[in-house]
Amino acid sequence: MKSKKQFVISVLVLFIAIVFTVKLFHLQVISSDYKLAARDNTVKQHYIEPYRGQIVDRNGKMLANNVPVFDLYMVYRKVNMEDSSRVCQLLNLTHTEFIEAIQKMKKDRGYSSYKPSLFIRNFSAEDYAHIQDKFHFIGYSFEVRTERNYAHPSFAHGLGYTAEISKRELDRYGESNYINGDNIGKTGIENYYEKELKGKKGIEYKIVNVKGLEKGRFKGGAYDSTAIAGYPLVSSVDLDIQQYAEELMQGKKGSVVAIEPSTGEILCFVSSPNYDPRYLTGRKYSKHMSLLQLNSNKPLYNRAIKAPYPPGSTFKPVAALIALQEKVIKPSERIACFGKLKTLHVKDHVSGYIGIEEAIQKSSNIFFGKLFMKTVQQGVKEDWRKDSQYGLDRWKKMVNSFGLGTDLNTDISGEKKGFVPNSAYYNKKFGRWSAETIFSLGIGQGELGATPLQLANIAAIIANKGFYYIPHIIKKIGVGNKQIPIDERFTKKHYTMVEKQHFPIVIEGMERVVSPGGTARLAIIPDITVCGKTGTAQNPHGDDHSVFIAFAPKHNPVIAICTFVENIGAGGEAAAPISSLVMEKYIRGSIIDSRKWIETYVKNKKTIIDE
Amino acid sequence: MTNRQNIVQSVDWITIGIFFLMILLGWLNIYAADYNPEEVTSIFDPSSKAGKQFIWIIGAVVIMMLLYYVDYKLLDTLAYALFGFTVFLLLAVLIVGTEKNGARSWFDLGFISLQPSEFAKIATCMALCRFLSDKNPKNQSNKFLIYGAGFLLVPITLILMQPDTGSVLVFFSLIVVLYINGISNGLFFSALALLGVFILSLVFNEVKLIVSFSVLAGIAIYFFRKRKKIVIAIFILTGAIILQILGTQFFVHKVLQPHQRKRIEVILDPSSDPKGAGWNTIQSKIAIGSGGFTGKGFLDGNITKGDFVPEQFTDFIFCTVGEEHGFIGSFFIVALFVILLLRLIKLAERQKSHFAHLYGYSVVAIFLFHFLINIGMALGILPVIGIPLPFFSYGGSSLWSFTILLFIFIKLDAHRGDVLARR
Repeated sequence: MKSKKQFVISVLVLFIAIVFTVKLFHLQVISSDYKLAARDNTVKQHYIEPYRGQIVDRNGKMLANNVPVFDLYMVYRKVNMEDSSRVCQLLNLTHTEFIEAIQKMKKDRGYSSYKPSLFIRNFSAEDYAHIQDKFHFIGYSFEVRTERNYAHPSFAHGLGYTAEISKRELDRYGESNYINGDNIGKTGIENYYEKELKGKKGIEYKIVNVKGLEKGRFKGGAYDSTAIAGYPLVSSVDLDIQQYAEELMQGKKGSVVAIEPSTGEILCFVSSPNYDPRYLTGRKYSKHMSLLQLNSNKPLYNRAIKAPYPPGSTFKPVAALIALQEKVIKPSERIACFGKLKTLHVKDHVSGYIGIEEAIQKSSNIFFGKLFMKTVQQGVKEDWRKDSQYGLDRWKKMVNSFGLGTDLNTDISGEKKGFVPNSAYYNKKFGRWSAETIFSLGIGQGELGATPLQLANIAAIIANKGFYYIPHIIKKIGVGNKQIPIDERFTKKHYTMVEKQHFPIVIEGMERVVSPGGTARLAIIPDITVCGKTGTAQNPHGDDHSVFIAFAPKHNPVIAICTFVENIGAGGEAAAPISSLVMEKYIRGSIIDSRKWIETYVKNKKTIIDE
Repeated sequence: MTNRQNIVQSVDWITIGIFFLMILLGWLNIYAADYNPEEVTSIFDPSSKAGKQFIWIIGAVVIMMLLYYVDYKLLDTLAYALFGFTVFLLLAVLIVGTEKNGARSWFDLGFISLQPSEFAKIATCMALCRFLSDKNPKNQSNKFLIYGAGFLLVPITLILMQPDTGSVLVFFSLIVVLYINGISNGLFFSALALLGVFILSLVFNEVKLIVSFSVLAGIAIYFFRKRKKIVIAIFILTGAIILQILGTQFFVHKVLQPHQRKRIEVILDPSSDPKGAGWNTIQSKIAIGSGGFTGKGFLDGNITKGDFVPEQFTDFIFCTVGEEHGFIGSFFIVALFVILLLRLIKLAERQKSHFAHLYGYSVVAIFLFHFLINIGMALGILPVIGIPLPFFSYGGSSLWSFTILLFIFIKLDAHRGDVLARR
């Protein structure tokens, strides 16, 4: 038995050796498949960059495409350092920059002094044309590649930007589709849809001789694969109103976000101050990037999805809806609101017994302070403090169902949740507290934090009477028969915890806001019924923020909007007119003459100095 | 002292001779692979690959000498303790190890980096052989062998967590030891076939596989057409293989989640081929093929230099042999491995102690596996699994671990006369 097994193992060894010998003989002596024409030839792998998907707006207007750029490669061992001063001169580099570029190159993954390594990226076609004739140094070579190009100086925060892949990103995605020097989307659509936009690299195998000259394709291209272009994307944004809103927001800090309520498609996505997306392309990328990072107005900061502002009075419609759903107020019920409510330290400019519509129209703080306490303190629990805790947590859940304090899960990278406090938060903060302690939540102040996108979504929810589609900025991936559907979460209705029948009265109130007796008189558009709510958010950093949420027209709304302008005063003064101009432009296509003065008025209001 | 003199007489000088020949050729070959005609460095230059390999070779010789002085009885006695220590190192590397190519498998000691999984092979061999030899040798039930296989599971699991799948596969080669110790021929070959078909069906297109197996079966049936029993057996076997291929396909594409599938794909095509385009295999075949019958000559290869494949000094070192020394040189290296393996089998068979006998076969198994996978991969017969070619691949950890593995056996063999027959 033993010797039999010895025999088996020995036969196994010999069998393997025979297979190897036969294969070796085949490869080295018989077959010509793997022979290259000449002894000195080698095979090199050459990547073909896929064409990055274009991005167009909802009307097919070009937003992002690609242009050819040239990268300079260096074979370190071949380079003659005596050339470097001439090289620097032609490339317009200082000697230090030249040395730094070499040091950076040497740290790249897979760097070898034998092979062409990426030295300096992104020479534009003009630069290249200029240099090309005089650039005949050994060890240097140019490679053409396509680089992102943006058609307009707008929509920077939505589009985002691309830049050279970092070592960490290479670790994360690198194995399959990226190499050193590749561009990758860093923010915005470019980042979120990187996979769709990127496409797939093609590979060509070329026979190369000792001098580096190409001698043809290896095995007639049998192993080659073609590059597969990325999917073109159709953004839901309307370039016209995007540009218009950016124009109106010039010189102000804040954000304008508009949504089509029936689909959740984002129509306009402005974060101000912004920057020209073209500023972050090409060779000057790093220089411009650091300038933008140093700019004290923080143009890179995407306020529309990252800034959790106190919603102020724009929250009141939500507060009313929750109270109606909780049946702590009947639609016809009136609450006594007189001059000043001592316990709440709130002043108000209304007095009398008022109902929901009037309270919204005049933005009564006393009304909503009382309403909040009624909502939170329903007497479900015997201990009144426990009752407040129970009530607040229940209230928070309902607020969350409006998309506040939670991730909306939109398709723009970097979204922030905002904040809606719960009882645990106040237990930790105050220890002992009751509804009265925290009544300012009911008027959209206090700890509440909501992003402009979330507030625009609130407007869309009210326009839809109780549901929303997750706001998204890409409506189509691919063209013709080469399409993939957008994520299914964007086509699903999300219902709030408030039933449909409670909405009409709140909508009536919002219509009255945009009427001669309301707080947003500058938002009145002839022939178009606008429903809105102003907000004047107090904040510790200076003047009040001006907020406005609205949708229009009242019946079958096509646009819901939120405008947030920092430190500029009351909601009716800045945010309301800006919103109304954008809505009018979207619905009518232009601004009627009688309202042109508002345009000028808004443009002249400036709070920051451009850097 | 007579003992020591005995050793000199009783060590197997043939094996030692092959060992020295291999490390010498391996060293020259690494020099050739790193050779750059425009900037010639000395083979001893410690900043070059060949210079570093030279230092590791000196280390290997020192290890060899040290093993010479170890009391051979200790090797058997310390097996479990060493195993425990290795398990500890494998745990430690998961926490304080350095990451290279996506696997946390190295200890960076500053002046040197060590890979504990290399040494885990040795300790696992010893512990497994000790376990199998301790028990009543007549107790060779399959159940008992399965307990033995449990010894393999601990290091396999820990190394999978790094994850270094290439090293893990080496442990499976120790099935040979279980075979020697008592698994029946049927079970052994079934296990081999199962593993083989599984790997094949992951790598190749299932239609092609089924067609080729059917053709093979057809040929076999033609030859044995007069013996009904064998024809039936072939039918059943072919049916089973086809079922397994389809089953594997179903399992991989329907049962596994995409990320799990990815993990399996990584086993077969690890970071050594990041672009997934078979570039390494193509390059390797070109390099070997370009060597022709006699090769381009020492230091005269041009493909395996510079920008060849990322693992040209380790996993694909055989390409340099193929390119520079052609069919003659490649055949010589293959023959050298065959001589070494057959010699080791012979030595294993002449052991009187059960432990040494099994240990001998575990050395055979590990060398055979590395030989099979590494050269098979370079020739494009087997999938790309990154494991080194013993004594040829560049690197200290692998050189030292192969040296220790081999010389423990040579030491045991030298003392074969000192033990009472236990087998």
